[in-house]
Amino acid sequence: MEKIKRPLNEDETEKQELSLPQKKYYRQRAHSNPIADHDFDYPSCPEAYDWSTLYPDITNEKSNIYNKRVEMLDIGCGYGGLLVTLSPMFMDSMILGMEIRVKVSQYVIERIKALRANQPNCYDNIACIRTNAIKYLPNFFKKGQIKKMFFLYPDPHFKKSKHKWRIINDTTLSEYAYVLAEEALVYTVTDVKDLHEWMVKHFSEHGLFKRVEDDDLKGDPVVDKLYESSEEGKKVTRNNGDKFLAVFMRIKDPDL
Amino acid sequence: MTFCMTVNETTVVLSSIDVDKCLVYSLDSGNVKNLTDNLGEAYKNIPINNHDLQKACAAFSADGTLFAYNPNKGKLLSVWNTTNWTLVENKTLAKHATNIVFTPKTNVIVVGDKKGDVYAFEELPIRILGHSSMILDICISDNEKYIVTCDNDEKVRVSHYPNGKNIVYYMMGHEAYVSGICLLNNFVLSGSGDNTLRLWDFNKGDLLDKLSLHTPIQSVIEIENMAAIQLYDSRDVHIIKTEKKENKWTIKNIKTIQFENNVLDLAVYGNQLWILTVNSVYKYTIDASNEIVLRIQDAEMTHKLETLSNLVKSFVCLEKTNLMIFLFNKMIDKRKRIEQYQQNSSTPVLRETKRLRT
Ligand SMILES: C[S@@+](CC[C@H](N)C(=O)[O-])C[C@H]1O[C@@H](n2cnc3c(N)ncnc32)[C@H](O)[C@@H]1O
Repeated sequence: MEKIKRPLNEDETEKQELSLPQKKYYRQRAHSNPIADHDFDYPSCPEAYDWSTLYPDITNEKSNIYNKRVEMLDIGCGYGGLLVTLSPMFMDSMILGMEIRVKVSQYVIERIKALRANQPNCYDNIACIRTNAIKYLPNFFKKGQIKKMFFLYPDPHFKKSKHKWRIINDTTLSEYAYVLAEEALVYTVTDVKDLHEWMVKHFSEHGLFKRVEDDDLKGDPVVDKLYESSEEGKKVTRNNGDKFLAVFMRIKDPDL
Repeated sequence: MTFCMTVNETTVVLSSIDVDKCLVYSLDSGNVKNLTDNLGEAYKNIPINNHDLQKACAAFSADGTLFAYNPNKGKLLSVWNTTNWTLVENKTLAKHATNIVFTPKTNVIVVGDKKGDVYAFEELPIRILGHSSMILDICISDNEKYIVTCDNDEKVRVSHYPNGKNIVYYMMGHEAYVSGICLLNNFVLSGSGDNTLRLWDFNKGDLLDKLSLHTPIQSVIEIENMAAIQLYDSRDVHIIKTEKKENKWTIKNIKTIQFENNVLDLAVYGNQLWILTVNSVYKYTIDASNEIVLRIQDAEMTHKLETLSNLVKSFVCLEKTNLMIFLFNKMIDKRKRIEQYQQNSSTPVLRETKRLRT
């Protein structure tokens, strides 16, 4: 890329920001080991994070998200399709994508930047950070802060020895339950039956979650969007793959 | 820590995981017994494990009747009856133990491991909770309703007990591994590789105070509602207490004791504070209300401490299997990486979003 020394004139800025980033420049190996300790770009506690770097509008009194905090999380957001879909549906909520792959998260960051530039006053409520969601949720969020959480097409890690890498497991579920408010919803979709069953089993056995029956999902505008908003969802459609949905509610500890 | 010391009313136990010895010294009779020699035939022929990172851990039950420790060989939890020092049982662990405690009232053994899991050894082992990195310390509240754990990822966590899947609080803020925690009334005290001690409100999860001791903290142990603090690679032991100052709870360092040699471990029984250094054992008593820390050195005790010191001298320390050295080095590495990263990345990852005029 050519380095531009002088400040851009208006036309050039416009051109630069209007062009959406191209996915092909942001590809990265599909699986990075989420347990390896190679990252350090996280706050030591939620209070230490300056959210206005991601959502400049939270300091803007006229904005819908003035003084708010993140309420929805797309874990492993990939190229960010779901964020972009949710943004206009929940104008008053701050939505965050968390993605572990550096290049993929950079793509999403550039994408949101371009969208904001294209359509002022839109997409101010979405952002993406590069982080390991398995390790750092309590660094970013306080207890009970999150109202909706999404796991769309999480990596299946087929081999039994790699199951511990699955983003839904006994250990991570407790952490998700911690950042989720009571009655908050967790949406999961996958094209892998075995992973679907694994997720249903783990959520059901955990104790702080209850499956939301399909009938009760009918009025939820989010559900329809889950299948195809994201890039992985589109891919599965192209390949005529199955799509398994399961939604869970964070409940009070029944034993307390 | 490749060494550890544990004390009850009549016994001092010194264990070294590197030389695979667990020496029980009777303060009454002066007799010494090596538990590791009596683990059973099955363990005799296993060579000493000098490749895995290990941490010597041991604990007496609150009533003193049971003792549990992790021998060098195999992933074992060895449980002993202390009235006659006979083996109760050897249990197999999923991973190497990094911590052993007993529940204060019900005598259940709770073990934290290198993977980050915590198991309670009822009839069968039950997984109480899991962290995403190694467990470094465990405390259980006196009413057995809560369990506090800390890990290699800078986290302190309070969970319900026995349902540890329900997290009450994460206490976030440490900037390196959290090596020790203890409960002081309504507070959690934590110590970390980041040099700080932090005091947290147990009921609200908030940070109340923070005190830097200028050296990474290696362990924190409660004694008479105060705490004794061991530092990494250091000859000092700090005694601290909590104090209300201008309506705020603070940590106050009331005394620093300096020893001739590096401190290896601390043990507490009642108001007694025992200190293990590279070549000696010391005993102090603490009078908390008057803030008096008294060294015990009458002729009789001096003789016993000398015997204990001679036992310690037979121990060796393998650096490469020492978990605390490993954690320390890893922390230093990470700091270097961060520094490098900050120097190299002139363009921050997140650039300001520029707006177009409409
Ligand atoms: C199969 S992709 C699905 C992406 C997106 N949700 C979609 O539907 O298009 C799974 C994504 O999760 C990310 N991921 C895996 N483990 C992660 C972790 N521990 N923290 C954050 N992201 C993770 C991967 O990098 C990958 O982009």
